[in-house]
Amino acid sequence: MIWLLLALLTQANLPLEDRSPGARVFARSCAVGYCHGTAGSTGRAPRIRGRRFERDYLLRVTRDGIAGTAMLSWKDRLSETEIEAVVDYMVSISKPAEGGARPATPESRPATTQPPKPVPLDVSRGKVAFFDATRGTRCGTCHALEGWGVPVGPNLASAVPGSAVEIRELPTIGVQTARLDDEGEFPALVVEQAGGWVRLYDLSMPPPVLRTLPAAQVELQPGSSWTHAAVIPGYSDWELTDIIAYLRWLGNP
Amino acid sequence: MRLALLAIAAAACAFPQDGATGTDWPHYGGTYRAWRYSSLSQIDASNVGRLVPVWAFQTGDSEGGLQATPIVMDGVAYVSTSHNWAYAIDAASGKQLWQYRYEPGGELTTAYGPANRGVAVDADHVFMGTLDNYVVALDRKTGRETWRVNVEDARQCGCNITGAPLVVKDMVIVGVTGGDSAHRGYLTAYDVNTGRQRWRFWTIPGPGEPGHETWEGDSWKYGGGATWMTGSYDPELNLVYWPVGNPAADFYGGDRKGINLYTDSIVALNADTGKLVWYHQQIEHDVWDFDTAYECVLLDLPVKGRQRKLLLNVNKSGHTFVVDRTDGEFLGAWPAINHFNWIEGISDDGELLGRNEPEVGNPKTICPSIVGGRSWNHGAFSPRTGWFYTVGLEWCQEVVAEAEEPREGEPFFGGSFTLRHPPGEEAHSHLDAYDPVTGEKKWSHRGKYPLLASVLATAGDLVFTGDPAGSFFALDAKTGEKLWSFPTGSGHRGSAVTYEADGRQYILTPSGWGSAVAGLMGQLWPEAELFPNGSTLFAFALPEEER
Repeated sequence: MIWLLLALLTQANLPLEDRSPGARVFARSCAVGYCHGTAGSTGRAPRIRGRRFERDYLLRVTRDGIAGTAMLSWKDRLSETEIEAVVDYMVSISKPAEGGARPATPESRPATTQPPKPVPLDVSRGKVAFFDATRGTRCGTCHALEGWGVPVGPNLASAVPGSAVEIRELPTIGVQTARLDDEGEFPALVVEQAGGWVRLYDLSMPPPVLRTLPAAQVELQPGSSWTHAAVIPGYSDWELTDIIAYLRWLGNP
Repeated sequence: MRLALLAIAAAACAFPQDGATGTDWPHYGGTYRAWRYSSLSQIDASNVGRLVPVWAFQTGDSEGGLQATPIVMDGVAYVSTSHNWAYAIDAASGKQLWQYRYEPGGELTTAYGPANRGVAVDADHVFMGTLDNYVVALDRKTGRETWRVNVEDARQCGCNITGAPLVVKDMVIVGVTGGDSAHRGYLTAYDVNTGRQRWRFWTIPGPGEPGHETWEGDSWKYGGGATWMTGSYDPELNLVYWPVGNPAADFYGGDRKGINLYTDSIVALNADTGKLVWYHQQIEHDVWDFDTAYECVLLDLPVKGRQRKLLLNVNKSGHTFVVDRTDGEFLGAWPAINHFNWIEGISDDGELLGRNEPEVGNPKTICPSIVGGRSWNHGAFSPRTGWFYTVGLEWCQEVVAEAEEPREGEPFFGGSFTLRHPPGEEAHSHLDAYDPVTGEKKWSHRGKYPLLASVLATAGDLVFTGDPAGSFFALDAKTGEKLWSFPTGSGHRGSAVTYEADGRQYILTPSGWGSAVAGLMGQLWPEAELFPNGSTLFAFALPEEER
């Protein structure tokens, strides 16, 4: 019912009330700080108020962002309802495009998406532990999942350890020992060897450093003294077990 | 250990009680003292009127403008651009020696817009912080990347690096952006040769650490405390000084009751360990986004008849704080702007008097605006005049706070604002000369628009800066009289430097409009929306026949 009312109001091309759902989403997510200005006025980002936009364009840019720029993609940050509402608001404050950019009528809105399946408690605890920023060094320092983290180590969604003990005692396949004359030895994960250069991750301590070295200066030996256990001392067995639940759930949601 | 001792001895010899640069411009702030002052005087008040352009270098990366301070060492200028390109340029001829373009590791989170305030250079490397929160080291001779390290996943933290790194001994130190998002800030040091982490200082104390109790509940996890701009270093005291920015959410402090250490503070860290030695908090429980973020100017001056080692820092609010840099003792504060009502004043003990805070759901007019009584563009100190030269911005805002829940790495502002002209007059700015200890104003030069470029001072008794319309100009350091200007075609949002090459003194300025503040100016001056971007270095000198 409220959507019908809003649709009628906006088809009259009146700007939506400042307290409308779309205006609130805009204020909190778009007008903040140094992005689009309050009520779509000038900010660091382009002005929306009073300019010409197609509704489909606004929808697409809001959902997907603009790659390589400060315009984030919001499809994982806002619900579909919030996205539709904020786009309606932007349409209401911008000039109508040729033929009139009208806010969607209730009939044209996408069918309500299914609510997401509830996530088991150990899975969400595991995800929190995996990416826990308060630790400094955490799993996400070397592993990437669901768009967070740094992909240095293997993709864990396809290689789930069976137990906490297994995580600690992981065979460190691929970790070699690099030797430089003026530095001595350190554990290294080689990424590439080409054109007289070696690119490797220096695993002396977290975070791993991606170093580019002249091949002639680097001596590589298989095997190393590096252990996975040494970089995860802050993780308890309980936390590692939760992390395994999270990894399993990722492979089988 | 022996290497460390040698390094300290060398540093002490190279850095006497003097913050002036000479033929080179080796650090972001000139020297470690951040005076932005040069002892070169070939160009002076009597001949600057004849200054001519010698070369221009266009970087090609104009989105975001050119916000860097070029570093000049041994006749080579090094500069970074908004999207993390880097150039080495022959400082006498403007010819490119090498170019580097950073390839991001993952999705860019340019949460604060593309910008880079400069590189740091040591004997072998050029260091740069990136838009996806990496530090890269390049071979100084060839520009080839030698190492890169991820500071923290940028997608998760919503943070990155826009400030210039600082090289101290065999470490490169970098800050992080933040304060307007749900993230806990830090300062990190890496080994210059290998990139391995040497230490990290969290700007918000964790559980069990002193100061942790100044945060309500879990607010410490997302409390801001960014380390935006480059700090300073005193080799004799072995202290690294760094400014720590505002607590998040900017306008809403309802869920973070407490004084919120160490946000809005200067911290002094042991250079070798990164451990806190002292701190001075300028604003307790900030709800205005008035970061402590700008230059830490190290001065040795008399206060009440006694010679003191000082640290002067202009807070974003436009109030300037002076402390003793050996122990953080507060020595005084003075305003660099006329229009302020966020406080009535500051007591002799450094306490804020008459706090006027944003209110939830109730719009208020507060001055200065969130964009600052001064922006990050730096001031300069001249030991010849004994004065500190800084810009002041006169503008206000209508602001309303809103309760908000933190979402990790997402914007966390707690309210919204719209810029307003100050009561009774049009918003504007001014570049002034002050006694650094008392704040007594010596002269004032007014600008129509906010002046957003740093100040350069020289022993030729000159002060240089640029304006948003693209004019780069020189003022008499003693009187403020304008002596020379040149239209560079795009606004100024970076920092000019000076150096000597082949016996000739050059003034080198970035020109190229961009940045968050530049974008917001359109709210008060609609024509500013159309100011053109750019990204060019201009080098000026006296005509050949005059030297």
